[in-house]
Amino acid sequence: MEALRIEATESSPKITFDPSENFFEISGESRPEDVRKFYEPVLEWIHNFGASLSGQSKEIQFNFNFEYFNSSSAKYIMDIMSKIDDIQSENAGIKIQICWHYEEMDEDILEAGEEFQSITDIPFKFIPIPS
Amino acid sequence: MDIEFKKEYPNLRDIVYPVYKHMESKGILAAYHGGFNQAVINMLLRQARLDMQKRNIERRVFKKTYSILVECLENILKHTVTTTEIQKDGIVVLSTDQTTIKIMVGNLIKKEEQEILEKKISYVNSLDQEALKKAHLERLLEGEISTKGGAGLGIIEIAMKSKNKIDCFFSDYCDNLVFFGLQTTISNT
Repeated sequence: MEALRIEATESSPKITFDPSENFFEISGESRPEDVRKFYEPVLEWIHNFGASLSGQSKEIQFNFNFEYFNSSSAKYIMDIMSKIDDIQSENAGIKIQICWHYEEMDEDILEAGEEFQSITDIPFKFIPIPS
Repeated sequence: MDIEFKKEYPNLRDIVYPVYKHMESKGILAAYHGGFNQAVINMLLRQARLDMQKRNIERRVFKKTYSILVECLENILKHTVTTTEIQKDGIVVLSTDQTTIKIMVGNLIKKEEQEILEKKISYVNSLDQEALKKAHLERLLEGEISTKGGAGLGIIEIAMKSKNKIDCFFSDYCDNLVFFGLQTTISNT
């Protein structure tokens, strides 16, 4: 499946979802002007990626490395988590982990990660970044 | 070429200088009044970042202030009434003293929205941090993205991140419009 690559802008994050490298990361700042327009194609890509994994066995890490995201983006990040959850529940051979990166002094990003953790069955690993 | 210096500049003396002195005396880091669009928000955020760095504001406080400021500015963009005379016009003031950073914003809303907003802010102010987290999670799970692009989480996030009550102010502006002011305080210690 073709990789999804979106370059960062001043108000939207960088996304690299590359199945051939088994590397999946979303990073930077997320407050896009049109949050729906930005995230809908990302959700669609994850859905198609899930379908492409049928019958496979592999371990996948999704890295979330946000410097900041606004409240409208939070809604879509939750939808991304939910899609990832679907991939795991529908594919017995797929083992997913979410790596939640946060600046060690940034309690708000950490708490946001804990909130997402509470509503998904995917295991979370919290990775502090020294400030 | 000779430059002619006038002795009297009434606008500079009566408007610009008093505003400058007033802002300085109130610890105002930045203030903007005018039209709002994404480019203006980006510019204000860039400048706020620089202003806070210049004052060596601790990174933890800076990140809190930045994220609350984004929600406040986006609220202006999403909710200001637009008429032929008023094009998403708003005001934002960022001030600091030894112990706090204050974000103050204002914009015009429809009169019928005042009661809804008052109730919403009063409800959020009645919640402690644990109850705010619960309300945030409920809203995250139930809420839809509105046609204006909001998730209905902004006011809750402002209260959660600032860890302080939200102050609000309403003043009749004209027939069917009300000025809505909001202030949030972030501890700088």
